[in-house]
Amino acid sequence: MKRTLHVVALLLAALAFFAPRLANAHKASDSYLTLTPHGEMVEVRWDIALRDMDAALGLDESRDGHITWGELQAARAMLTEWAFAGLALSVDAGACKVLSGDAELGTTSHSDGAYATLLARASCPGDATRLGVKYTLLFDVDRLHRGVVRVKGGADDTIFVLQDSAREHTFEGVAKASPLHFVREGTLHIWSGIDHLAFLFALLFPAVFRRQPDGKWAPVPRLRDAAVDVLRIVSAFTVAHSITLGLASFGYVSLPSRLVEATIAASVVLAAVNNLRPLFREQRWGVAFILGLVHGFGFSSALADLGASRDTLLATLVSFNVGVEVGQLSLVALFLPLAFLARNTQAYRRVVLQAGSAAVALVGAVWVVERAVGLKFLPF
Amino acid sequence: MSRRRIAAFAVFATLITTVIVVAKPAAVNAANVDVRVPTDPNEILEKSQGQPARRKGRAAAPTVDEAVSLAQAEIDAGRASGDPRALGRAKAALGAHWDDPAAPASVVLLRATILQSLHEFARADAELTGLLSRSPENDQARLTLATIRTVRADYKYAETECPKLGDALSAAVCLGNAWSLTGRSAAAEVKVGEALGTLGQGGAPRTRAEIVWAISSLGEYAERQGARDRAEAYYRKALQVSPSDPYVLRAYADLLLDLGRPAEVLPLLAPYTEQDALLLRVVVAKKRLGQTGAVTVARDLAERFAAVRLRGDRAHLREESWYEREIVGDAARALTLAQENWSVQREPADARVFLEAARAKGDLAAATPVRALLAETHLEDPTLLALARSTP
Repeated sequence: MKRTLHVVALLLAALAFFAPRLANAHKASDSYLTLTPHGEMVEVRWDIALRDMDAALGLDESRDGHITWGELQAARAMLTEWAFAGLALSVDAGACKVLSGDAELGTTSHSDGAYATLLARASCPGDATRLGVKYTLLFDVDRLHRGVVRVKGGADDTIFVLQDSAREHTFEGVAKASPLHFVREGTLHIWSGIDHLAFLFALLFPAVFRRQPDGKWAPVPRLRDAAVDVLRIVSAFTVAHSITLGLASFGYVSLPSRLVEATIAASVVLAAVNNLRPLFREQRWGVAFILGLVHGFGFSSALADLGASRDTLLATLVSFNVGVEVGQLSLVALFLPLAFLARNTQAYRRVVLQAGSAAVALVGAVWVVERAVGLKFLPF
Repeated sequence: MSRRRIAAFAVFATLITTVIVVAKPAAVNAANVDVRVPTDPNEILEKSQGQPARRKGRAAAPTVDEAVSLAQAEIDAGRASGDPRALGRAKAALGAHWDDPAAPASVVLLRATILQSLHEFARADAELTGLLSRSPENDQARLTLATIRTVRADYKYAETECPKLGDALSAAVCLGNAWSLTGRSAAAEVKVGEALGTLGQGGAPRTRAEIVWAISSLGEYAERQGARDRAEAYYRKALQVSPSDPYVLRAYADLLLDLGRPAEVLPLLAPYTEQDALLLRVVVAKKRLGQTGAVTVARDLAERFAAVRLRGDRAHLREESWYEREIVGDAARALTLAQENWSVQREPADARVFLEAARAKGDLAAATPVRALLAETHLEDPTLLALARSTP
C-alpha cells in the first residue's frame, strides 16, 4: 500500500513537471519564419499565431468562440495563400517561387499560445547563396507585428527581425557549409540510417567465427583474425560505395530511387541470410563490395537532400564519406571486442548470430516489399 | 530448435525491434519535432476573438473619426487586459494618419499615447509639444505630457502645467504625482483625497479608469509616507472599482511582497498570469514561499523574456532585472539591465530595481545616479531611502 502511494506520488510529481504552461503569455505579435536553403531550393517553415490569423481572416467558422483543428484545416488554402502573399524570397538570379500548393499544415505552441505551422518549399532560379527576404505579413492589421526570421545553413543559424519600418533584408553568404558539417552529417546518416546499420551488423555478427568446410561456424582464436576479417569487409564496402556515391553525385549515373532503396533492403536480407545458410562461403568481402555499390546510390540521395552546391561538390563528397567511415568504424570498434569476448558462448552463437540474423533478414524482407510497392507496414 | 533457443530468439528479435523503433524518431529532422498534426478535427487549439468584420469588411478607407475611435477602442481594450498586441492594432487602425504630419489633434494624441506605451518617451514628448504649440488649450495633451515628463523625473512641467487643467480631479492627480515624487506625499494625499471627495457632488461624470487612477495614486502616496496599512486600504478599494486593473494589481502585489505576505500574492494574481509583469510577482512569491512549483513557472517566464528579446523589444527591462537578481541570482546581469532601464524611465520602481541590483552585486558606485536623483528630488519613500543608505 505504502509502495503504491509512493508510485502515485511519483506519477503526480511527473505530471506536475510536464504540466502545461499556466496561461498563454500576453505578447506583442510575432511570426517565426525558418528558411533552410539547399542549393536552389529553400525549405520554409512558418509559425503564425492563430490569434493573428483569426484577427486577419476570421477562423472561427462555427462562431463558438474557439478555433478548432477542423476549422484551421478547412481554411488551409485560404490561409496559405494569405500567408505567402506576405512573403517574397529572391536570389541574385531572380524571385523564388513558393510552392504553396504543396504546403503542409500543422500546429505548434509558443509562449503566447497556439500557432499554425506551414511547411513549404520555394524553388529559386539559382543557388540561394544570397537570399533576399521581403516580409509584409499582418502589417495591415498590427503595425507592431514582427517577423523573426531564422536562416539555417552550415553550423550556425542567423536570426534577423523584420518589421513595418524595415520590411526587407538580404541575407549574405548562406554558409557554404563547412566540411566538418558534412562529416557530421555522414556520421549521423550511418548512425540513424537503420538499413545501413542492419546491413553492417549482418556482416559483423559472424566476424568472430570462421566457416568450416561442413558449413558450421567455429570461433576464431585471436582478435587479430577477426579484426582483419572486419577490416577487409569494411574496406570493400567503403571502396564500393565511394565509387557509386561519386558517380551518382557528379551525375554520371542515375538510378530511380525506389529501385535503389529496394535493392538496399534486399542486400540486408542477403547479408543476414548468408549467416544462417552459407550462400557466399568465405567471400564476404566480395559480397560487401557488390552490395556496397548499391548503398553508394543511397548515400548520394541523402547527400543531395543536404543541399550540396555544385561548386564544392568534391569537398562535400569527401567530407560526407569521411563521416560515413567514422560512423561505421565507431560501431565496429564498439562491437568487435564485445563479440570477441562472447564468441565462445552459446548465447552469442545462437541468439546474436542466428536469431539476430533472422530478425534482420525478416525486417529487410518487409523493407523490400514496402519499398518496391511504395507502401508502409513498419513504423521504421 | 530447442525451446530455449526459441525463447532466446524471441527475446533478441524483440530487442532489435525495440532498438530500431527507439532509434528512428531520433533520426527524424529535429527541426520540426514540435509540429503536431492533430487527428481530431474538434480539438480546440485557441480561443477566438470573434469575427474581424471591422477589419476585413473595411471596403473604403475609414474617416479620421472612424480611425480614431477604432484605435481608441483597441487602446482601451489593451489597458484593461494588459495585452500588448492591442497597441499594434491601434497603430494599424490609424492607417495613413500615423505618418501624417498635419493630422488632427485627436490623431496626434493617440500617436503620443501609443508611443508612450511603447516607452518611446522622446517621440511622444515631441508629438505633444508640437500639438500644444498649435493648440495650447488642449488639456488632454497637457495631462499626457505632464505624465510623461514625470515618468522621466522632470517635475517642473507638472508643477506649472497641471494646475492649468480644467478638470479638478485630473489636475489634482497630475500635480499630486509630481508632489509625491518630490517629497510632498502627505500634501498630495490631501489634495487628491479632496478632489475625490467631491465626486458625485455635481462634478463631471467619472470613468472607472479615472477613479482607479486617483485611488491607486493615493496608495502610492501613502506607501511613500511609510503608511503601508493605509496604502493597502487604497489598493483594495481601487480593486473593488476595477478588480482586474493591471496597474493596481502590480502595485498591490509589490506591497504584499514588501509586507512579507507572499502567500496572498498567489490568489490575487492567479487569474492574470498571462501578463509577464504579474507572472514575475507570482514567481517571486512562490520562490519566497519555497514552493517547488516556482521552477516551472520561472521557466515559463524565462521563455517569455526570451521571446520578447528575440523580437528586439526592450520594454521589460525593469522586470527582467528583478528576475535576474532574485530568481536567477545573476547580480551582474541584473545591474546591467537596471542601468539600461534607468536610461529609459526613472520612476521609483526603476530606482528600486537599480538599487537592489547594485546592492546584490555589491557595487556601491553603480547606483550613484539613483542616489543623486533621490537627493535632488527629496523623494521620501522609506524603503528606497533605506536601500540607498545600505547600498552595498
